[in-house]
This record gives sequence, structure tokens and C-alpha cells, in this order.
Amino acid sequence: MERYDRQIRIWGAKAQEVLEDAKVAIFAKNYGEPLVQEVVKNLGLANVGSIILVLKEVHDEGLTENNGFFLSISSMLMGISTDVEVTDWNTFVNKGLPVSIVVTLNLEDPKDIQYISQLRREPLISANVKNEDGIVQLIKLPEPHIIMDTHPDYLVPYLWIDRPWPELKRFYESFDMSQLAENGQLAKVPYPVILYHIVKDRPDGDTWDSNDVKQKIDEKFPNQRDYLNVIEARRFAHLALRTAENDCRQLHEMLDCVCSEMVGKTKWFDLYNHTLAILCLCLKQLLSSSSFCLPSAKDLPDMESSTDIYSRFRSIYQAKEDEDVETFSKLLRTRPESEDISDSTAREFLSSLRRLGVLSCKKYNGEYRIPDPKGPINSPIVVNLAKVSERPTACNYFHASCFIGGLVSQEIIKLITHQHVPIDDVYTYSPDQLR
Amino acid sequence: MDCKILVLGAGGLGCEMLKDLAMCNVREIHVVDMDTIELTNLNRQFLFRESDIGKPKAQVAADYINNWSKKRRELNSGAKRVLAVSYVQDLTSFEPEFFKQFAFVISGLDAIEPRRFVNETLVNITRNTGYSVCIPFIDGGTEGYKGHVKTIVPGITACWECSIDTLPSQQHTYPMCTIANNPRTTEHVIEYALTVQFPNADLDNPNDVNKLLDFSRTRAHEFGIDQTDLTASYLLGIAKNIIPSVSTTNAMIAAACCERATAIYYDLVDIETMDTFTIFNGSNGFFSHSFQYQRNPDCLVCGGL
Repeated sequence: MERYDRQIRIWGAKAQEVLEDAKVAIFAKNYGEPLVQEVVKNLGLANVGSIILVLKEVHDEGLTENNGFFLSISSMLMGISTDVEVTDWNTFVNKGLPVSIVVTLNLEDPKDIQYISQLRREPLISANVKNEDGIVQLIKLPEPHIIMDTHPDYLVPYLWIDRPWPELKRFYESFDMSQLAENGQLAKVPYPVILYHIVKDRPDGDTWDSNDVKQKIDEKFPNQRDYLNVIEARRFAHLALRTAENDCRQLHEMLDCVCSEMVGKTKWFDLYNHTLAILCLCLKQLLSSSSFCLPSAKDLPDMESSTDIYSRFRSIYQAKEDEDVETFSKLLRTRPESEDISDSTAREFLSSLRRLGVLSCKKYNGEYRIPDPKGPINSPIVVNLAKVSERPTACNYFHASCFIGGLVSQEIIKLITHQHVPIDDVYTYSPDQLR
Repeated sequence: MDCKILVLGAGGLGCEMLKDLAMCNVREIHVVDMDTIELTNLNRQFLFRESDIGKPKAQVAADYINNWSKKRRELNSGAKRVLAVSYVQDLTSFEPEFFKQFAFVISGLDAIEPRRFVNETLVNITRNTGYSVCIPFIDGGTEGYKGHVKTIVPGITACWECSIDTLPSQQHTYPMCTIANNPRTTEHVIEYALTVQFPNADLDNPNDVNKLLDFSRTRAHEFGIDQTDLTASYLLGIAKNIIPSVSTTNAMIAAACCERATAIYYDLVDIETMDTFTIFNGSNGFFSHSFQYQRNPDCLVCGGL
């Protein structure tokens, strides 16, 4: 695994395993196209389990026209352990076993896309490059695509100030703030405790904004303003007003979407997606009981505090999380289809609740986009036409294939691993527009 | 492209750039890198094989391109010859005279200081020659699914130093009192092991890494800190400031850098008005944004030019 360490740091060890079990079918004309070579290279380097190259023109070594970097199939595959099989269209479309995902590269005829999307059940993504322009399009998603971790850059923490569970409430209440301020011990307390005490005596019906919270902090602790935890309390004053409803809204929307699209669906070809769907159903059932709340110790940020108070705070989160996981697992085990789901997967799922995501099912609607480049000749800002005409086109447009090849490979990896959010529609690359 | 281009770094971006430039038929591609090949490079640095581990990156990459060019000409006698030249040495040891031979400098480096050195050198060349030698500097960078491309035409567009304020702080720093007295997270105990308990640890020596791990675990236990994440891989990530990296992002950023070079070479852009700064983020869908970074009149490097 050390070889893949740098990418495992992006999507995690479990996702790497999923990737190594995956099968990708690539529909293309021949392997001499730069885009095809780039995608095979990128997926091979990432160690995707196997690739089936479904070619219109099947050749052995040596191509009459090879515009790619790799001069033969063997040089393209050197050093990668992905299993690559080459076959022709009809054999695969009619008899090919299910794969994880189907990709079409540089197929200009919408009829080809129609044909493939009708005969294959898998998610379908396409990429096209023409001159310098490129397009990546998600064509079809036959089942809702559930994302285990969207990896947001920043997650707004929810501190359960409006609705603490009994142990957390006891913890918050165990501090006498006036006394701590008097005897100089306030600096040891994590800022959520300060925020809890600031808003708990708010008169019913009073609507506060974060400035009100800051003002109350200043009034209550006029001599402790330079304490690091008081500074944090002012900085995160808005978190004092965050409610359980704010925290859960996105999760509920996501669960509603998954559950409504699951109705009547019995056959899933993406096993990992199926696992996540069962976990979503079970979670929705659990969340319908109002007493249930789901804190995650992983989501509790670091904050100024003495070590022992912070440890106590964190262990209260951890204990609640453990209890929730147990309740969740019991409920899960009542479902016959949960047999293959390990406890560790259930735990991982619960600890990433605030980072789950979904893409809705998508049918191929006949809208297939291919690039329509105007070309630099028609560009109004070309300075030196003589130089442009001497430009050997195929070679100098190579970068577009590399860019789109990188992008479509990345989207394939996201769809297979269920990590990060894939493109849900179309991305167009047109460097000429930048100029 | 009938010119010489200098590529800085033969890592993830460097390998992709060499391939892209070779495909543009650049007459001479020179590549500088003082590092040797490691196993963890092989998930993206596709010019290298397991048998190359321990060899200098620049040399193996240049050999690959030269062999490739030879084979290509055997298959197609009309194909242009591409020559790759390697330098296994510290970039900052080159004199300004060395840089003057190149039409472009393209960087795929992972550190700030060498970029600042090259930027300053190229700006000074423009200054000292009164704009008669003006070498565009195209800088690519990646981290996980994110990346950037900056295009610097010295004395005309913003230089690398003009945008230095946009860099994130280079590493997490924690107050010493937290690390020494109030550690709360695994990062805090690792930082203490690295700075106080074993400051001279050799991070490439597994025994030293294990020792650091032991220090960290003991301290985490002492302070009641959850140790679930505390593994050697996690510790090394923090200690070495490892940047997550994948072939897909490298391929895209390298391609965008080469697009900039070809656009300038073939006069497809007006360098005074072109966008000079592009950011890419593939974490949520795919997003890119280009704009013109303004020159900083008080820039310590290009101010007054």
C-alpha cells in the first residue's frame, strides 16, 4: 500500500480497496488517441482493478495512426498492475459482464451513446476533445449515487447548545462561571461552555444574533477579554445560536432523496452503493424517533482548554457516539439485507453523517454535448496569424487531451470510491475563452 | 516548438510536463531535480519504474524522453527529435547566465523558496537586459484535488512575489504552552515528540520513526488523548508535511501549464491583458477560475521595473 500512500491521503484506505476491486469499461475508437491513453495511464497509476478497452478498431501492437505519447500498448501499460483487456464493441455490449462504470471517449455520434446507454445498466460518463476544447459529461446514473464523504474544506461544528443530551447538559452545568472568573480559572474552560452559559438565561421569545452573544460575553467577562478561550467564544459566537434543525437539514434532504429513489429498487449493481443505501434507510428510521441525536467525536474541533476538561468533554461525545452506534447496529441487524455490512462500516458511516452527499438518478435524455471549437484562427485576439498556421495542430492540442483525460479519470475515481462529489452534469474546457 | 524550455522538478507535475512538452516537439527540454526516486512516487510519476528506486529523478526522466524520441523516429522517420537534458543538483546553485538560454521556465516544484529564487532571477534578467531578455515563468502547483497555474512575464505581469500574501501559512503552528502543558490532540503530542523529545530524529529511518511514535503514544496515554488515528503513516504526514497527490490533478495542472506556454509561444494571447492566475478545485464537482493578478507596485522583487 505504500506505493499508493499519497493518494490514500486524499480518499482513504477503504476507498483504495474499492478502487482495486473496480472494473472500468472504456468505449473508444482505438488506443492511438491521446485521450484514451491518458485515461488508461491515470486509472492504471491509481491502481484501478481492471480496465476493459472496448475498441471500434482492435489492433495488435503498432498502429497506423498513433497521436498519443505511448508508442504501443505495452509501453502504455509498463509499470502498472491494472489488468487491461481489449475487446470489440459488439462482444462487450451484448455479452460483457457488469462493470463498475462505463466511459466513452471521443465518440462524436450521439447514436453511439444512445446505443451504449440502452444496452448497459452501469453509470455512464463521457469525455470528448476536439482541437483545444473538451467536455466531460455525466450521461447516466441508474441509481442514486451516495457519497460516503464529501470532504468539505470546512465543516461548521454543531455544539448541541440548544439541545444537549443529559450527560452533556450535566457537563455544561457543572461549571460555575462567575466563580471561575473570580478565581482566575476561566481560562481552563472550552469555549462551548462559555457560549452555553451566555445563551441559557436568554429570556423566552428573545431573538439574538451573534452580535448580541458577543456583547453578552463582553459584559459578563470584562476582565478576561484576552483569554484565548474567551477570544474563541467571541469568534464562534454564531455557533451558540445554531440549532439541531440547522445542523440536520442537509442530512434530512439527502436521506429523503435516497429513500424516495430507492422505492421499488431491488437490484443494485454497485454493492458499495447498496450498502450505503441500506445504512441511509436505517438512519432515516432512527432519526424519526425524536430522542435520538447523533454527535460525532470526530467533528468536535480542537479548542483552548485544559487537557483534562477537554478530555472529559470529548469523552462525553465519544460515549454518546458509542451508544448511538450500538442502537444503530441493533436496528440495522433487524434488516435481512444487512448481513454483509460490518460494524466498522456502520461506525464509519455514522461518524461521517455531516459529510454525506447524494447525486440523484439521471436518465440519458438525448442531450449529448461535444465540443464545437471556433479555433484560434477565428479568435479576435490572435496577434500573429503566420505563427498559428505553422502550428502542427495534433501535437499542440495534446494538452487538451491531458486535461480532459485527467478530469474524466478523476470523476471515474470519485464515482467508484464514493468519496468527494462528482460532476453531476457537464464541464467544458475551452482555453481559448481564457484568452 | 523550436525552442529550449527549462522544467523545474521531475516529480508528479514534472513527469507530466516532460511528456506534454515532448509531444509539442519542443527542441530541447532541460530538467532540474536533486531528488531520488521513492516507492511513494510511483502512483503518479509514470516515467519511473520500481527498478529505478534510488536513482536521480531528473536523469531517469530525461533518459525516458530521449529513448522515447529515438523510438518514435524509428517508427516514423519524419518525427522531430526531442532532446532532454538533466541536472541533478540544487536549483539555487545556477547562475543567471544559465537561465538566459531558455524561452520558458515551467515549474512543478513543491516548495516555496526555489520558486522565489527563480522568480527573482528571471525578473532581474529582464531588469538587467532592459527587457531584451524576458523569460516567461509558468508555475504549477497541486495539493490533492486542488491546483493552480500562475503565469509570470517578468516586468509585465504580476511576479510570483506580488502574490506571496495569498499563500496559506506553511504549516500548523501551535502555541508552545499548549504542546507542553495542555496537549489535547494527537497533533499536539506528535509536535512535542518532534520538537522537544526527539528533535534530531531522522524521518527516513524507521527506528527513529518508531521511537517518535512511542513517545507520542506514551504522551497521548498520559493525557488521556484518543489514539485511534495515531499511526506511523499519520505521524509522518505531520512530521514531513506530506502533500497528498494523485496523477489526475497532476495531469490537469501540467496540461494547463503547457497550454499557457504554447499560447504565449504562438502569440495567441495578449500578455498585457491575459489572465495570469488560475485556480482549480475538483473536490466538489470541478471548478476553475482565471483572473488577472494585479502587479504590486511595492513588490520587493519587481517593483520599479
